[in-house]
Amino acid sequence: MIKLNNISHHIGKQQILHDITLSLPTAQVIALIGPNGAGKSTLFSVMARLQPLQSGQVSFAVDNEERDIVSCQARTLAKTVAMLGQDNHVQGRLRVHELLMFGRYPYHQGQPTADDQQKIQEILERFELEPLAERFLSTLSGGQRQRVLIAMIVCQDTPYLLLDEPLNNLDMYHAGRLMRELRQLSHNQQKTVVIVLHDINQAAQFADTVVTMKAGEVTAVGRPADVITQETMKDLYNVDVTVLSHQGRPVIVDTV
Amino acid sequence: MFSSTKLTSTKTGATKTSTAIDNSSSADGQYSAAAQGQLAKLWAWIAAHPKSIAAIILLISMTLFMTLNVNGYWDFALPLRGKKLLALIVVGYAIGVSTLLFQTLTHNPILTPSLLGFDSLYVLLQSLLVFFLGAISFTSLDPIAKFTLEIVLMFGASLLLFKLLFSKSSQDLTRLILVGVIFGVLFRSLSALIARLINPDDFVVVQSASYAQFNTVNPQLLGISLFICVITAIFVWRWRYQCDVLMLGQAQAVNLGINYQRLAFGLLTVIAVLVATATALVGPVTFFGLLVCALTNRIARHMYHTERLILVSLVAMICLVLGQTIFEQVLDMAGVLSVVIELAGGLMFLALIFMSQRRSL
Repeated sequence: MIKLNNISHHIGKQQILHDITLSLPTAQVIALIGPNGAGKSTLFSVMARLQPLQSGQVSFAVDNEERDIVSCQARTLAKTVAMLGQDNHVQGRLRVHELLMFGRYPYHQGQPTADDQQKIQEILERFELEPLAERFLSTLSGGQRQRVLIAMIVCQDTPYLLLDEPLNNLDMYHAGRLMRELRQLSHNQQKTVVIVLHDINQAAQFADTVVTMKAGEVTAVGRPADVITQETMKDLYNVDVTVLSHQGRPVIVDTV
Repeated sequence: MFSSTKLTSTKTGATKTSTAIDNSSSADGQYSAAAQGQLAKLWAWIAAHPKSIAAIILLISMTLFMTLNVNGYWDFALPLRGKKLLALIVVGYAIGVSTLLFQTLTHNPILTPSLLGFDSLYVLLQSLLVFFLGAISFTSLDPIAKFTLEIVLMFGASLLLFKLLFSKSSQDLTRLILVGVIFGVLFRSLSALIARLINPDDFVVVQSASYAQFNTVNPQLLGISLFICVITAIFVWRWRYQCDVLMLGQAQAVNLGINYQRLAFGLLTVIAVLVATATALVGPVTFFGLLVCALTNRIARHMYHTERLILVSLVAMICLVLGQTIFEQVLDMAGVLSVVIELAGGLMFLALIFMSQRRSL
């Protein structure tokens, strides 16, 4: 369980997050949706300790132990939560398999073992990256690089994954494959995946829980069918949509 | 902004030449084909063992430096040359490693710590000392006291400057470079002002202090510098894997469990100390670091610091030792090594910029 207590954050004079208190369940795919500027990326940065925690507490529960991001050691936290941000400036002269090996750094600290090699190989197969394994990152397309970065996060083998708009450069096939892969990780390996999405339908189809954010506050938490309604979409995005239903999950259509 | 992705790999070069040679072998006949095949294999072997090759070249250079043209005066030559050799090795290590670490930290293969005004600060300090003390007192200053003063001053200035960069986010990198360049211009202008105020005899002393010279090095300072270099080497070697992770950017480094603030501060301290030591020992060496890092990036097999740190030290030492040998023994001091290094480094700098420009078009 991820526990957020009274998280507030300001950048300069601008208050970005207003006193957020939230508990997120484990072993689920949790979609975080909201309009631009709602504070989703800032919340992720605070949770992943990329920004200093200005007020409140964040803790991740692992094996009945509460790991607080302030008091816990950096190395332990690296094995607890992995985050992929929106902007990634990675050294282009690395090969794909070398980048995946960096994902295992919290475990091998620079000296990879055969065990790490094996895990890399498994991930390469699962994410269909074998043909790209020897390529330099600077020679890959945006979408290919995105898939490699996500694979690296999975290599880190943490019980909690935070992904900030990971589907941005992906085509329909790869976006669908990734979401299915994340569902597998959460249901079979008990991992908690929190993912920021802009496509509401993807959130509706693949997420177990949906969290909505607006203007630095959490406005709703629940199952997709309960949270994604005509009223909530109007309130959140100021858009009039039609909500259909497919196999028990909502599908929203923005008609002309 | 320039990025490290602009450097291309030369590893494919070896295999490319071998396929080209295979294609032409049928036209040239079997004898030359065999020789060319051997050449390609030798070339591939050289490309695959840069550290060993560099170490061998360094050993040869050091032997030449110590033994060429001694003409039997071993008692005199060996201690004298030995100290000079040690100074060259210390400076090579210091400049090479500090520039490499700086480029890792700033994600930029075109920056050197010297671009931030270190060298002009050093020259300004020399000018001020000559201005207030006069040339004679200046040259009779206690070398250790002067050395300590220079190191402390440059170290303090760099810490101040680096606080600007790493107290906030990486967007301040551009501002840091700008501030460094402006300060460099300020220091240079002040030095020029002082140069106009002092008399010509004093000016000559300042001039000679403004350029790096590897010909005479104070042995006491050498001892201190060597000690500093060994200490920093221990730290840097322990941090080599964390430096690798820095290649992924700050966000990913934090994600993978690196204490970024602590590591960045540690690296900057080491960089500042090494640059200050090398400059205080031999004088300003602006583009030398850039030249050596660019060469290292070309010949290194991969980007990991375990290899690149060793390689950059070896390459820097080779440049200095071999260069000084050539000037002293072959060319009879017809020129000065530092000038050639500045020329080569400056050309390399321009070449790097133009290469990045072309690729971004």
